[in-house]
Amino acid sequence: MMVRTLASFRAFHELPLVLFTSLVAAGCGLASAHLFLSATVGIAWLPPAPILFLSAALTGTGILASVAHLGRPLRGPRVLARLGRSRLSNEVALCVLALVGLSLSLILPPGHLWKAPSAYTGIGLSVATLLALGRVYALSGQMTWGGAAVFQPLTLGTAWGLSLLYDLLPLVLQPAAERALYLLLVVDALVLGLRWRVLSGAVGVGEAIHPRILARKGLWTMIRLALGLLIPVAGVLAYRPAWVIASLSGALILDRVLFYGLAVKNSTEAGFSQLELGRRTPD
Amino acid sequence: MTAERVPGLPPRPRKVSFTLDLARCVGCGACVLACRMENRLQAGVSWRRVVSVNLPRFAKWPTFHLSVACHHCDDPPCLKGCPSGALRRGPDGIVLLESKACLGCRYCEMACPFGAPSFDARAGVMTKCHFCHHRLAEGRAPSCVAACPTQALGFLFAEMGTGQDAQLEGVGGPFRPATETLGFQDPGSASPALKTAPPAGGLRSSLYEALRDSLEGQAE
Repeated sequence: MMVRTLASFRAFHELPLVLFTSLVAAGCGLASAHLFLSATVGIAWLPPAPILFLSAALTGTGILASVAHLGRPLRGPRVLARLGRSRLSNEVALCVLALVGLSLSLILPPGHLWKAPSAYTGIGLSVATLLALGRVYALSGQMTWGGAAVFQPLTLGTAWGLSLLYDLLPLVLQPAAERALYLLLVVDALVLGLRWRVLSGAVGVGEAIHPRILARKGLWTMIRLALGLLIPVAGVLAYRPAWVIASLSGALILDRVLFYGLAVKNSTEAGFSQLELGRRTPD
Repeated sequence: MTAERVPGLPPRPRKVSFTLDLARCVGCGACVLACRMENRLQAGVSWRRVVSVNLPRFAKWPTFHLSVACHHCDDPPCLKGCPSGALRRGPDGIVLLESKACLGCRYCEMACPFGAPSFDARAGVMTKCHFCHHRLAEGRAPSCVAACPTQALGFLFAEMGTGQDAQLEGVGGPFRPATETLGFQDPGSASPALKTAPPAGGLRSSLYEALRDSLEGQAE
């Protein structure tokens, strides 16, 4: 069983990407959540140093983790060679620039001319990175990575960030933040529902990349829904912020595992399987 | 077997594409083996494969076979997504992957709807069919085409400026874009350059035509 587990582990070559997307979604989500709260409940636009630090640390660690996915890690800087032309180059550039903005703001002393602009730039680019994280995978080769799936890093990452910031807010602002969190959790669950619909349509039509994970798609999706909506809502109602943070952390990681694990791709074989079943292939 | 040297192949052929006559392909896999030997592919790496299609009426009887590799698309999704510039498309339409520039990020593998790029785990880079451009430069056919015992696999080229198509290897036809073959999908409109001729003659042709009629009925 140990050998089979190790073999399955190695077969899931997307694991470094799970780490990258989870950590970057968390880091950028924290910045995005701060922006969200500034705009809605009226907290200060400039994040305090601990928030900047955590956001930058998570994003930076995520970028380092992504290098583990490369077959040739030392050639990593070449990823920016087609900036403006490749979505992947653009995504990495946005992520790195967001990190630079947040880090610069952290390093600069209070009152420095560039402290606030760096932070705002870092935060803005963090939101852009969350969108790019989803959009980079909207590929014609993949049936389940487009559509609503593009928005999942934004909704879940921001919800996670909000769960972290909620307990740090003054009591008077917490009810408004609570409502904002509920809204984000519901939107995230709706996005998950739309992804489920696409997945259901793709199964049996396309080719599963990880069939063993796909075989239990219902169970995994229910767990993801529980971690991403049911337990956090219960945690907010019971005033247990630790439940909310822990549950959404689990949701963030599981979501990324399922993003790759439940992937169904287009392939020549899949097209002809449809023919064998006497079905017209979709145009 | 086809001759090694292809008479009449211009020194720099323009706009090449594979052709496949579905009536002739018997699914022997000689093309797959020839490709592996010519390009010294590592274990786990494959540039060409044979897809066998059984129609439902005779479940244990393969109806037709397709030998597929990289289709050297007109609008390749692999090239569009590659962040390092390792992929480029030459004036002859061949999509080449420069392994020395490849990061091994496998993005092209995710992007390609035809399963063409293949990851070489030992080298840590992506690899794919390059149309045996080294053989073309010597006036020889790609190794898969040369190895095909039934001449089902061939290739077309169009001379630059003349707009004239001439089939150099393989027989059969008439060839149409592969997207007109039942079951062949082109999600994302990559415009694969592969050309195919449908199964012709005998029971296979009748089954193919019956299926086409049935699917057209579903569409209405």
